Formats: sequence, C-alpha cells, structure tokens
Amino acid sequence: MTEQGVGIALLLGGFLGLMILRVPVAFALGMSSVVTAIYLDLPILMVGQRMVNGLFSFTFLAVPFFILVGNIMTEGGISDRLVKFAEVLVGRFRGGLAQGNVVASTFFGGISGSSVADVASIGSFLIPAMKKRGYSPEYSVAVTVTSSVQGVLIPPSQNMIYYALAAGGLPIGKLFLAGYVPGVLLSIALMILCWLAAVRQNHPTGDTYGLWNSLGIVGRASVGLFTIVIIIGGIVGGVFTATESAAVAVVYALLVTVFIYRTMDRQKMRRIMAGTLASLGMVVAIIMTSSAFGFLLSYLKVPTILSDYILSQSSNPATILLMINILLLVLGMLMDMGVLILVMTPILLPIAIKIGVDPIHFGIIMILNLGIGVCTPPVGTSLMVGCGIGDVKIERTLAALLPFYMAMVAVLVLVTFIPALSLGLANFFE
Amino acid sequence: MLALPSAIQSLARFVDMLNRIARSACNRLLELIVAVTFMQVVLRYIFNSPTKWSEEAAMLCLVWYGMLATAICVRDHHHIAIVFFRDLLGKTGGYVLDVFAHLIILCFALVLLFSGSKLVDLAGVALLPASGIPKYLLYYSAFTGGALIVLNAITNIVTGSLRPDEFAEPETTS
Repeated sequence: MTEQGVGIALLLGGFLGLMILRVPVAFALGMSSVVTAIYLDLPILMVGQRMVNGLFSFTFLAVPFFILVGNIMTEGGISDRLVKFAEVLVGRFRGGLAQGNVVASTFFGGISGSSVADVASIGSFLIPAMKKRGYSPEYSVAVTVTSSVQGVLIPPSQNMIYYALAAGGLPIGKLFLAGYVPGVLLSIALMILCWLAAVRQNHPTGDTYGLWNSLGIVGRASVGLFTIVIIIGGIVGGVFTATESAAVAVVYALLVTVFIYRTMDRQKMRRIMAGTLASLGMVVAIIMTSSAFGFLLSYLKVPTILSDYILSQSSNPATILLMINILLLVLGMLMDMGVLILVMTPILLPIAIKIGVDPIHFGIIMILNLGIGVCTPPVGTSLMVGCGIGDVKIERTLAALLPFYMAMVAVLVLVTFIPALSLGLANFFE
Repeated sequence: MLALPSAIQSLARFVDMLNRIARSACNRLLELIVAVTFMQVVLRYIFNSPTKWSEEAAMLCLVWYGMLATAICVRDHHHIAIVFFRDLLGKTGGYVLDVFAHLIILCFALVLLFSGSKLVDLAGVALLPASGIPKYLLYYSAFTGGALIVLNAITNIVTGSLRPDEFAEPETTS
C-alpha cells in the first residue's frame, strides 16, 4: 500500500472506528487527524493550529449570534405568539391546527436556524393542542417534526454557515436567499398533505379570532418577526454582513423581550446563556477538529480520488446527483447534520462543480437532503424530541410519517433538478 | 453507590470550581463579542468611523469561548457521540467503551495542550495584523482549553461520571 493509501485508511478508518466505539464525534475527528499527521510525518502542531484557525473566522461569529437570537426569542415567548399568528392565518381551514403548525414552523425558521429548537418550542405548544382536538398523537408528532425542516432551509440557518465555511467561503447572503423558495415549497407540500389528511380523517378547523383580536395577535407576532427583516434585509440590502446583522438581531431580540413582550428575567437569561453554551460548545468543537480533518483530507487528495472514481463510473450529471442524494440520505439517517455538512462538503462539492452544479445550488440540495435525515430513525434528533413531547414510541410514528417523507423526497427531487428554485431569488438580488 | 475516597471528592470539587470559572468566563466573552460587534455597526453607520480592531478582537474572544466551552462540554457530557453500539454491549462492555472514549479525549487533549504551548512559543512577539493584539494570546486558548479537557476527562474517569445524567438540569451559573 502506498503512503497515501495508508494515510487515507488511517484518517477515514480511524474516524469511523472511533465514532463506533462511542468516542464523541469532535474527538474522533481530532484523534484520527493526529494519528494520520504522525504517520505522514507532518508536524503535530499543525493540528492545534488548524483548530484555532478554523474558528478564527468572522463568518462563523454569526453562528453564536443566531443561536442566541433563537434562544432569546424562544425563552421570551415568541413560540406561542407565532402559533396564534399562524392560527389567525390558516386556522379557519379544515385541519387548521396542522396547517398552523406548518406555517408557524416556517416563520419560526426565520428566527431560529435549528430544527430541533423548532420541534421543542412549537411542538410543546402544538402537539398537546392537536391531541386535545382529536388528532392522533402519531400524526401530531409527524406534522411537527417534518415541518421543522423549515428551520434549516429558511434563513437564517446555522447549517448554511457551516456549508459556506466548509466550501471555502461562499457568500452567506446568496446562500440564505437560495433557501427561501425550497423552504416555502416544502411548506406548501406539507400543507397539501395536511389538507388531504384533514378531509380523509375529518380533522376539525382551528380556532378563529375576532377582527380586533386577530389584529392584536398579528401585531404582537410582527414585532418578533421583524428580526427576519433585520437579518435578511440587512444582508440583502448590503447594509450589514451576515455577522453584523446577527449581532444587531441579538440586541433587537433582547430589547423586544425585555421592553415589549416583558417576558425576560434573570433566571431566563441564565437559561439562555447555559443553553447557548451547551449547543455552541458541541458545535465549535466539531468546527475546530473538522478543520484539521478537512486539511488532511485534501492533503491526501481524497476529494480528487473520489471524484475521479465517480466520474469514471458515469458522466451523466443527473445520475451522479441522484447517487450523491442517495448517499446523503443514508448518511443523514445515521449521523448528525452539522457533522455531515462539515465532513462531506469538501469531498462532494468538487464533484458537483465538475458536473456543472452551482455551489449555492448544491448547498441547498445538501441541506434539504440532510434535513430529511433529522426526521428519520435511528438518529433523527428532531424525531426523538418530537416523540418525547408527544409521548409516543418512534416506531409507532413511522406510518404517519411515511406520506410526509414521500413529500419531502419529492421536493428534494424538484430542488435537485430545477436549479432555478434555489438560484432564481439568489441571482435576482445579486 | 459507594462513597468516593475523599481525595477524589476534593479533586472533583476543585475541577468543578474551575469549570464554574470557565463557564462564567464564557458568558462574559459571549456578551463581549455581541457588544463589540454591535458597537462596530453603530460606529460605522452612526458615527461613520469604523474600527479596525473590533473584528479580530471578537474572533479572538470566540476562539477562547470555543476552547473553554469544548472543555466544559466534556465534563457535562454534551458532545454528541454514537452510543448505539455501546448500548448493545450491556453493562460491563458499555462501561469499558465509556472509559475508552474518555481516554481518547484525554490523549487528544494532551496533544492540544502540547501544541498550544509550542504555538505560543512560536508566535513569539508576532501581532495580529489589524488589531495589534499579540498573537500568542490566540494560542494560549488551545493550551488552556487542552488543560481543562485533561482535568475534566480525568475527573470523569475517576469519579465514574461517564455518561450524561438524564435527570440533571443544565447548570446555570451566571
């Protein structure tokens, strides 16, 4: 075996082996990099240096800010305001609460970039409410969990920032804009399903509010939703960078929850900081070690070898995109989304570029695809949280989830093969 | 559960105190990062006088935050890991894997600590380009984070705290 071959085996085999043996992902990435660096006679200092430099990034600064905005708004009670807002919009339709769930998640996605946070906060209101109105617990969980994928597609989205970083620096604003149409398309697909289910299973309409009540609800939710205008307007209008707009959004979210919603207190503030530390600590550890890992991957020319191999199998872009999608769907069922974006982007993006796929478009494909994995067993985090709230076993939700999976895959196929869905809006604002 | 020897208990208390300090340092750093970045926007748009140092200062704080938070998450078992196979192995086998994982964390942290201290030496008197902040401050974070991970991994092993306590509330030191 050549030195390169052994190096690749050590790096990839070590990573997978350590991960199977329960070593936390961040440390599996780090330790396999260390061992490979020693074998290749690279200075071991390189690992520490790559780790520090991987985090020394102005773009990444947006991630803690977005996590903070999401946590502040959630603790500050944005979720129940958004739920009521969604009910005002679609509650009068058949299956109104299920439709409202999808709509609320779509808006929540504009504030928080995490699908798990979406399930935890929107779900803790809507799953019990849906059960009370006679929806089956399995169906309530299925709607909540699948609609949470909006959280990663509708900007702001931490996962898009990971992608931009792993791709070696893409314009965040363009990537954010590219997520809107696919996100809304997914919402529409899910809402059609909810309507069909409502007709077949005779689901009730949701609550309706009088005109003045409705206006009040819309007003209260809009104050929170203005965060979206700050972030997206700021970036698209060229006023702020993504990082700056996120910092402004943190300050705005604090002002709203302290002075307008009047829901913030010291205890909540502590919970926000503790929650941010727990989720951010996990993320930054992976960002840092995957930066060393990614360096070794390209040092060993793994992306080139793999893309040569794949391109020798088929030169048809559609076939290759299909293969990549299937690979990602399988990996997404087994592993965490953020990790996969950081590890797989440097490997797969060169292939995508070679067959003429725009990097922005490829990012959206990847994020939607891995978003589906968040809703599937065995390691779908959103699914686990949703089942916890709904108090149902994961196996029992699968029948209810099946039509939703099919809808998501259908949207994935559309997004994969119609680049304009992702790039249209992004290029329009260029 | 048997009571732990008092030496181990004192070690755990000492390490937990260090973690509380690290935790509140992290919270202050995060507040500082938000404040500095927000200030930069205000200075640029309202006073039309952008600063040169603020981006680098915020990024430096972020690296420190990251290293400390990584260490704290080791003690609190917040790092994601695949526990599927461990759970298949039953009690003893599962325990062996838990210890093994912590030993790997320990080894990696030693590498981080070592390379951090070397990088501090190598940085010498170099400065970060925009802000003029000494570059070794950046690499001290790797040294400090590595050291705290080493302590946390050892403490987890000797106190037998090897997996998350499902009923624990997250710690909320301000």
